[in-house]
Amino acid sequence: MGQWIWLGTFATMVGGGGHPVWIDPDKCYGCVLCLRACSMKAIRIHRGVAHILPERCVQCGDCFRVCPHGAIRCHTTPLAEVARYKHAVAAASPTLFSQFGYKVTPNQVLLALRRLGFDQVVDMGWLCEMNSAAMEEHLLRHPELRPGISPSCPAVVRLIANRYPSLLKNILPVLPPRVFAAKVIKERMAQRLGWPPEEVAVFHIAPCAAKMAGPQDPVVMDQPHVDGVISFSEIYGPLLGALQGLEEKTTLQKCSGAGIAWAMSGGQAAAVNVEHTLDVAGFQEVVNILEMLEAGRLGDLRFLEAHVCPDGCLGGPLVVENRYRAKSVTLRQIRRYGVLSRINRQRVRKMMDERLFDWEGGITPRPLPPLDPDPRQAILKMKAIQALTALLPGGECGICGAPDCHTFASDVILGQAREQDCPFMKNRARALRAREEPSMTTVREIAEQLGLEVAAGGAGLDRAVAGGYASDLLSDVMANAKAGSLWLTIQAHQNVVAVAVLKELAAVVLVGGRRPAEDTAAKAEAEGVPILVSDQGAFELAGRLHDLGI
Amino acid sequence: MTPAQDQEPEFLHAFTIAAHDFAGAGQVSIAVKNLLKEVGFSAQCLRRVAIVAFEAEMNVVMYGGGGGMSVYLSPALVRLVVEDQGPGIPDLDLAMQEGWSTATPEMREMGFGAGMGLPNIKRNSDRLAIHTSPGRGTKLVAEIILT
Repeated sequence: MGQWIWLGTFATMVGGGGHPVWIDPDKCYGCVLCLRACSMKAIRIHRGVAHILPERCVQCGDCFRVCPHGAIRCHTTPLAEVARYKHAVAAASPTLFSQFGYKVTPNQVLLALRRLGFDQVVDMGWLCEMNSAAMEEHLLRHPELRPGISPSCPAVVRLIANRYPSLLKNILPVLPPRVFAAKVIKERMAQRLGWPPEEVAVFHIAPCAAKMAGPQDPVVMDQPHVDGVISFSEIYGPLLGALQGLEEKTTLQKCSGAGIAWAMSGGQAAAVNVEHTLDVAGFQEVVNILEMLEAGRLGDLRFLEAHVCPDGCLGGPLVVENRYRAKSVTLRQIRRYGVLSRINRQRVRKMMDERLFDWEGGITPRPLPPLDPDPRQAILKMKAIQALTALLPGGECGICGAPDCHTFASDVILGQAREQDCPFMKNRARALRAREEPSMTTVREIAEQLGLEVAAGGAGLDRAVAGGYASDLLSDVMANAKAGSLWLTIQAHQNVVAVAVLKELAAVVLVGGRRPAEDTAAKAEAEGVPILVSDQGAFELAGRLHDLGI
Repeated sequence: MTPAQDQEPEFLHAFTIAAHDFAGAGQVSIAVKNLLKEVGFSAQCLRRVAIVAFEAEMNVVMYGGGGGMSVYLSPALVRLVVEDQGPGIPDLDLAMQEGWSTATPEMREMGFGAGMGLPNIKRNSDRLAIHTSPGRGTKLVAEIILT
């Protein structure tokens, strides 16, 4: 199913399609759960199998969370990859410290990592503290930036690049900790230690689907220097083993609670010391805040920390520990190690002046294309989408394979789906056709179906029948019968033909075994008015006609 | 060949604005913005439309007793028609003054009532017509011309 793909130094195992979040068609039931869970409406179900549209996906992993059949996978760099390098360095998100309960300290986690084959282990909590300082410094140097948005969550960066390109300028151009760590390791640490570059690899360890880059990842944001990303779920078991019987002879931990707090939403906002910071977590909540931002309704804000995962990174799709217990552990660690960071701010400022924190590439906006390159056509298409949406039931049932009716209408107008894919529309089309071509009943058909004898006026048998009237008073028929009706009566004299002609009735039906008089029959022949004969009384005959739908 | 700006814009959609619905405040203007975003209008245009739509929507929610917002589009123009059957604006000149507000204390507590609504609308639209009279409701027609 998977295959090894080489992308420069980034060796990863990627499943079908190359996108880091992918759906295994053999396990997929085609249920609507992932379809509905996706906030980017990036999933469609086609022929009973779900697939992800990579141009819409931001890799939040929400689909992965909800799949009940394990059909959705997030790729991870396998732990075995570490052994291929002589100088493999672990740069684990400080969220890792929250995964092992109250008794395991951050230092123990770092030491245990070293036992898994890493040559060096870096305390990313410390680097996160440096990052907070760098972001704060950047905000102080750029008072016009209102707000600066932390780039730490790649899903948020992709979301902005995709749906809120006007906010790209607000993303703080400060390398996120994992990239900064990898850069420092390769450019400074490796050189200092005399490591040949081809023997060095930096592995980030994170509970995050968004940080996994695949070879076909439309590159929104570069993740240079990072050679692999190992998920918590991948490394947890071995790490638990490595924690057994650990001897704590070295201190690798440098971070305080200020760095440890990066595991939770709000950790960055607390550490970046500017007025008016805001932290938001959860996809829909992030969208709400970005909408407000784009509408200019958060004018005083200076710093925004946004995570698509609930409660921040410790709520990531690939965590092992329950997120609230992880939060409890994090809070305890914060209390224990204090919130005072011991980083040297002067040094951070110097590193900023040396451009060490600068982005090497930019962020590539990746907006969805307009409905049409020609604005006129785009408007007409939107009108067509609105019109089609109005015809749809609005049930958001997902049977068509799209997450909701408006999206389905867009897909249809853009030629990516057919109207008949919606079962409601298929039936509606059928009903509309039936309404426009109502079946026509003729006198002949009635006579055949009810077994009535045609006593006269056979020429008029193909007249259409549009109702019935039962009465033996001619003046009553003259006043009330409608054209095209079948007239049920016992009157057999020739005047009934005249009345039938005057009122344009379809036919005369003589009930109770009556037969037309000779002159009646002759007149009926002359006028082409059918006279049918029945043995049944008017009551029964009317009932049978009613049953036929007359 | 009529100049693009004079092309009569197509009606696209009519949204309902519920009275006093502060919880849903801004939903209509977000929907309008997202509609235009999907069509492909520029970020600059969207920003102006969002401000005009939001301020107009809030006016209808707070003062107009509910109403509606209709969106008309041409390649060069976005027209918003916002109507309500509320009490009308007694003195339009006064209402257009920055800082002038008839917001209640409750509204001010929520952050509204800076008296910038109509001035913001005027600033962000290229053509603005307000038809109003006491007891006869208010109709606001704002046009944003795309360059």
